Amino acid sequence: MRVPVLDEASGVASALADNHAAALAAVEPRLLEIARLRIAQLLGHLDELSCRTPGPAGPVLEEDTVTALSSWPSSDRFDDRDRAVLAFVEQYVLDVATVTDEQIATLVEHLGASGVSDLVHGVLVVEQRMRLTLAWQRLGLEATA
Amino acid sequence: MTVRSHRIPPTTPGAVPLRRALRDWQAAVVRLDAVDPVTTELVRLRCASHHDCRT
Repeated sequence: MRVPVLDEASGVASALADNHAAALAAVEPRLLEIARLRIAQLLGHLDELSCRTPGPAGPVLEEDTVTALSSWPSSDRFDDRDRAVLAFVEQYVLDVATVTDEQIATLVEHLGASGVSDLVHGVLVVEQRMRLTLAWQRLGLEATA
Repeated sequence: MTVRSHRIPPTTPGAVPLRRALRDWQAAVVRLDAVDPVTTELVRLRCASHHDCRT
């Protein structure tokens, strides 16, 4: 079934695709990939969980790192910067209104203000796109974004 | 509603293509007309409140 509001004439489908591509280009691939996969785990987005973002020499993340993702607080496959990103991402997905000043301050220490700005924009795009496609799938609509 | 202070400066530069793409997407969504304006505005304001978005 088509999603009428996403007919090409509305511009929404293409704008969402452009938005996703821009997020992939703006955020460091490893960080956006651990964010994307963690969001997929939390939302139960099986399609996103089954795909990997390619890098210049294979997938951005090693498969052992993907396997360890749900235990990121204690796994040695993640450094402090990864953990700052993942702590933010989890809070963002659970309730964006409860992201703390401390979480953002820690991110700024690792990424700088511009890096945090781009990360937040990127996470927003990835998370909204996943929620949209999940909603369409639940409604039996074609998820084309 | 708790109004939070800025955590990074509002003038912080970011990736221009990403911000432009986000703006274009939001504009495309706003142009949709399948949902009546009152419902659309209620949803928009509820989201803005939850996200502490003052724009």
